[in-house]
Amino acid sequence: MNILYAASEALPFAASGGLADVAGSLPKALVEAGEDARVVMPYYVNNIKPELKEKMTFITNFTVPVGWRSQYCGVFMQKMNGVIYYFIDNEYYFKRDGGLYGYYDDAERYVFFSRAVLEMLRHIDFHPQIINSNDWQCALIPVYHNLFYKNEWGFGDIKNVFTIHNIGYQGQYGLDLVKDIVGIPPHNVNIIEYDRDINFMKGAIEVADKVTTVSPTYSREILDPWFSHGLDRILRSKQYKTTGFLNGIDTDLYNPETDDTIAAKFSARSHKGKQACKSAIFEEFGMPQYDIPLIAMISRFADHKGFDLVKYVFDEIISVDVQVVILGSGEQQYENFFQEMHWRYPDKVGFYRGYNPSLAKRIYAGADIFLMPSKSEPCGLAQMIAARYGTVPVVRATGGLRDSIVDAGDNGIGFTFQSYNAHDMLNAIRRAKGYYDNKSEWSKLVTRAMKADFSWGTSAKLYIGLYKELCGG
Amino acid sequence: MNEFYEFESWDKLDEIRLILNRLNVRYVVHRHDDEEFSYLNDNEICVKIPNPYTDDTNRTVFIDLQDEISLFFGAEWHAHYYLTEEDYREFCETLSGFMKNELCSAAVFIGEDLHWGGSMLADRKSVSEKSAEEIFAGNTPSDANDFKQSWEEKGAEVRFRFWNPKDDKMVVFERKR
Repeated sequence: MNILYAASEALPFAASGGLADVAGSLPKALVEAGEDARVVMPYYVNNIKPELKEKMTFITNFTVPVGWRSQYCGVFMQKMNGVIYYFIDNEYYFKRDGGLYGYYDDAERYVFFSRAVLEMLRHIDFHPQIINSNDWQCALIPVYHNLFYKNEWGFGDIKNVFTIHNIGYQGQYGLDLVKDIVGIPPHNVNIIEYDRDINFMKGAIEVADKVTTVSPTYSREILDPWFSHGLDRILRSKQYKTTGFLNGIDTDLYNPETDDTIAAKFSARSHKGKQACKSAIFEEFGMPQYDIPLIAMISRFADHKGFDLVKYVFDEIISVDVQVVILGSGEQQYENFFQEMHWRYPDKVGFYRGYNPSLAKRIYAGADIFLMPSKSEPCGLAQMIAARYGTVPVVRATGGLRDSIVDAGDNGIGFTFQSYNAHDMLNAIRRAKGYYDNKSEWSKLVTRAMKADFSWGTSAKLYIGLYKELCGG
Repeated sequence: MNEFYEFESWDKLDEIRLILNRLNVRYVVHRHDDEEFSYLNDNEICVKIPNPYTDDTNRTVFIDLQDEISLFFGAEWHAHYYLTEEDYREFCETLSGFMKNELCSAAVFIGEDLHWGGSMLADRKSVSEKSAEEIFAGNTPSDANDFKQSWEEKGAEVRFRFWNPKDDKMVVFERKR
């Protein structure tokens, strides 16, 4: 089966969040499962490392309609890990000095990209049966396909899957953009119109053959206004075609048996090296090591990650007799708070402000407990990475956290709490501490966590099943 | 832009796609780098609509988006439209009419060798209610009897071709000996 995976970012080329992980891993897993999956993404000239750009080959160029404009579009190609990547090139749109997003013309940039993906298909030797578009940046691909291409030879048999990674970003703009940028005729604006604005994501939900989210629980949660960021009405009406598959992690990249960045290698059979990793963390953070659990948090500091709960009961967490290391950056209030806690409890709290992937891995390897009390979490990868490194997750049962972490009381691999409540979280930490104090039980729990299958293989099978269902077999 | 040139023809491609999608008609978009379409210039486009009812190439529709819009219904009928909104509207109505089987091409072939004697657009109602002579007469200064007389003198075939051939009609005028 031929699958084109359209994403605005993909590892290792350009990344700003979890989408890049998925776009860098799922197609690879699909190829390993025998499918011809390819990725198309923008050619971010200034964001892609030179050594990766060097290996790209120019294939073709053509023009792309963007509202009343006709814009140049080049296509480059590169094969990596068995997956062919296409890069949509237009320096006006994608050669920027800053990050990937956040520009005044983001709507126009991704209108161009969406249209270019479809136009590209008549110029390359690949005919997809499925286009899997991701998040608002690619949400107009199914819309344009439905409006302009579905009856054109070569396009008619393409099925559209739209995946929501984060419903918080929908591509909402004023209606004035329709004529100037989006290029959808007035009598079809209803497809993308929502609450007197245009909403790219709503358009995709409206017309895609299937809508997927990154975990089964999240696919149900977004039907509720608490989680939906306003899209619950349209999602409820399209519930019949919505489903959720849990993401996986790259188990080669996150492998304590082969990871050279950690102090000592270890495996599910032998946890010895994990102790060395724990000692290394204390050394790195300049903290004394006690025989108590080390709790880790690695995250962006944002309210929905549950930091308000942590802040509310932090002194009580410390009184449980644990040590804590935190790596992250984000909202100033939390950066200041953790800095202050580090000063208040210098032997119990270590804090690293910023993001350091290598240190993050060392923390995953060295900690005992991984705390992730998110208010909402579409999928979450950190809890899976933590488990892979034998660090037992304590999570709130929401979204992908609910789907990936079963409570130890049910023979699972972590500790969960249901309500978004600081003391419920605290109780989960206390339960974890109780397990930790029973060394034999804890060792069994760590082994179970490390053996849990978070590879992409399972997700890939589910996606292939969905694709086959759409293609009629 | 002048009075015959209010827009670029190729800018109408998306609108034409929408019409064809609405009519559930499948089509192919060709550009100058496609084989057999090298007559097109850089931005020019040809939309080819193969007939799903028959392999008869005389029933394929071609829309050329060049410095005018040209609509071809096989080899027997075609029309050219200025790039004005008024002409474009007429083009859209004609295209839709063909696809809905409400319009057809009416072509007359004269004499024993059936040489082409002219063609026009006819609507289903006229084809079913009027004679061929009346249909053609309505589009020229002549009256119906003049047509009948000239066709009967040399013999003629009048072919009404629809998008779906099930509605086709042919009228034969035998030569008077």
